[in-house]
Amino acid sequence: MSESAVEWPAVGLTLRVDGHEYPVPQVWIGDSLLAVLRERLDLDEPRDGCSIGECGSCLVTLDGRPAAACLVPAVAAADRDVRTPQDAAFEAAREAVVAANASPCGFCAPALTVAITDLLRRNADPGPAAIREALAGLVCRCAESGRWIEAVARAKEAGVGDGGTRGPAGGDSGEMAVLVIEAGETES
Amino acid sequence: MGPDGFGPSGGDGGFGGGAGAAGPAGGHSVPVRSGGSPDGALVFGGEGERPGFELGTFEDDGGEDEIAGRSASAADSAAGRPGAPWSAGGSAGVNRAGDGSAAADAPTVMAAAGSGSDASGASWFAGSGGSGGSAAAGASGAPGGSGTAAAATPDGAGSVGAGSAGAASGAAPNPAADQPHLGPGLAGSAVTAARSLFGPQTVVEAVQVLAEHPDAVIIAGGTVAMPDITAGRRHPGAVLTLHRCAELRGWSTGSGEVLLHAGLTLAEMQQRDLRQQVPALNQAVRTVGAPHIRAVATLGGNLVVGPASADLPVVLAALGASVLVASADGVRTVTVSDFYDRDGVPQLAPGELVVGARVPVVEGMQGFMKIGVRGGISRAILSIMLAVDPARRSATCVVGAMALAGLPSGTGRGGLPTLLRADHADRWLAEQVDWDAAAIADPTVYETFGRLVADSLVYGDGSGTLGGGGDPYRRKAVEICARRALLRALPPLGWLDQVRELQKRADFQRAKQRVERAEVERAEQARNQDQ
Repeated sequence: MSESAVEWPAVGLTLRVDGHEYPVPQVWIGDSLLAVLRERLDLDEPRDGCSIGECGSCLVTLDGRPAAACLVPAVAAADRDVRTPQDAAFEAAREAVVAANASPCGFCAPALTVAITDLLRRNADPGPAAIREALAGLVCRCAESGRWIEAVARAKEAGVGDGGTRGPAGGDSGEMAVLVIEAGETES
Repeated sequence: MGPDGFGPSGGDGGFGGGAGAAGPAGGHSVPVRSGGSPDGALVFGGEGERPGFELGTFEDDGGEDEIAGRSASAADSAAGRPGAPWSAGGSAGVNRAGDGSAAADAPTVMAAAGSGSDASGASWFAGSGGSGGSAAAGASGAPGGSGTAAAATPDGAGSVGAGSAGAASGAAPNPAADQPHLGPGLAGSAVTAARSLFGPQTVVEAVQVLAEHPDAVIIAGGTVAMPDITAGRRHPGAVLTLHRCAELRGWSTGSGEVLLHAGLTLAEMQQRDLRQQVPALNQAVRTVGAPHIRAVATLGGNLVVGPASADLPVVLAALGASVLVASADGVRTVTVSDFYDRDGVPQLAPGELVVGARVPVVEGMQGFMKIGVRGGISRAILSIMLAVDPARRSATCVVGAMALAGLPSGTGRGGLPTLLRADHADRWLAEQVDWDAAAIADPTVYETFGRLVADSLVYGDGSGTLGGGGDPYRRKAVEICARRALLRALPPLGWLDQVRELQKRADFQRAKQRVERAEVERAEQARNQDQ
């Protein structure tokens, strides 16, 4: 499109990433948080995989909840607590991922640490099914899921999620639920 | 308050919070309002000092005064904060200056944004490193915060005028003290997007913005709009983000129904107390996306996408829910079935905003099924929802997401309706059910019901049913899904007794084995001790 005809309205923001404040002048209002993190702030742990929210490799947490950074407009992240995989909170999970060799090529390893930490904060003792469901959003083509489950087990041993701040009202309970409809008043 | 540039979020019910006042990480408090007015009216808002915004009485009880007061306060607060140049039309516009320099300035903006390491950017990062350095940078970059704001406002937007300049002098010292490195630099760097970025905190403000900017891209969770924007298919001239709108978050209970606010995220639909009332929501949401998608995707976005690919419209249509649509003229209520045309396009006029959905709470079984393009989480190519209401002795089956693949004309006209009620199958079914036992006596009912539902998939031009060479896969899938959903919702008569009997027998076997194992172990222990 011709540059002269199209407006690129921009704003100045201050992003709070990993506890640091980064003033970012002139962010286009359509820019995603991922683009700002990677290209403006040089924080490249959130990977740019598909840019449409399918692959999950740009996982960050927003106010403690996981979110795909490519789907969050940067202007909507400005007043919130953004944590990238570089944050110290994900240190233990990162070591577990490395120890389990859960991400052989390493591309989605940062996202995996975020997903594992989030899972263990929600659910201190997830079963294999709960792990598969929680990590289903990460599209990995090189590790088999057994390594991921092992990574979760190692992260749990390392104490990830012990200081979980999410209360029971936090929404996603993480438990395997109700695929089959309960058949009426059969509970006796 | 936060350097988010949206203006201070005074009393917005704890959502987001500011830089210092943010809640603990993960401490999303979902506002759940119970009770409400005695007549069961559901009320938006009412948090903090803000007066409640009652749906349906949009213009009554001095609504005009409220609106005026709100927008004035928003203007004041934005002008008082140098970090919020756009919401009040603060400092001189780069792109929207309107004096002929816009065209020349736009490439400049892009150059700065693209390189990211130009002079101003570099000074920013140096300045943000420590508090002492940043204070110095702020002081050197521009005059003090209050001065900048007051000076910038009058030449930016005439409508805000003197009142906000006065307010700026009062309010600005506070943020300037909290964030010394912030405001002056931003204002001094002449960054602005006046009238192109909006973060309303109330529904009233949001529809006002939409009335003025009907082409604004509405972003709540971002899962719909952001891929298009990133890929360049959509170029937003103005963006309206709803993440600060506390009224749109959460859900409320009324008499015999729940009101899901449009900003309710899919993850929040999995809460225990909501899924006890509307279990199908949880069933559907679990098939929708990864946890990080569910955490941001909202009900409103799902409704606006429509049943061509989204799942919640199917669920809500089967439950007999209705959609609440707000505009500057008020709030209208439309049933989910009427909300979409037959291609699954939501019937929204420019300037309208989906603010929620009213869902009746029914006692009966609800079942949602979906077939995606792959085994894992994916878009539906077929979804089906069966809701049983024993009190009214009725069942409702809705088929959705039929428009995507394998049809003669794709998603356009001539294909299948995207949201389809199988009314005749429902009516037939209601006569076959033994409602007192919540079961079905005749086992052939299941097969027949599946066939009837599939038969209802008639092409719009009347050229035949789906099975007639059009899409045998879909027809088969609809048959099977409807049959299974019915089997789970209304089991064959006596089947539950059989299950209970088998359960009892299995329990007995397990107990017996446990006792036997214990006896064997005890005998072994005794033998070991003897030796």
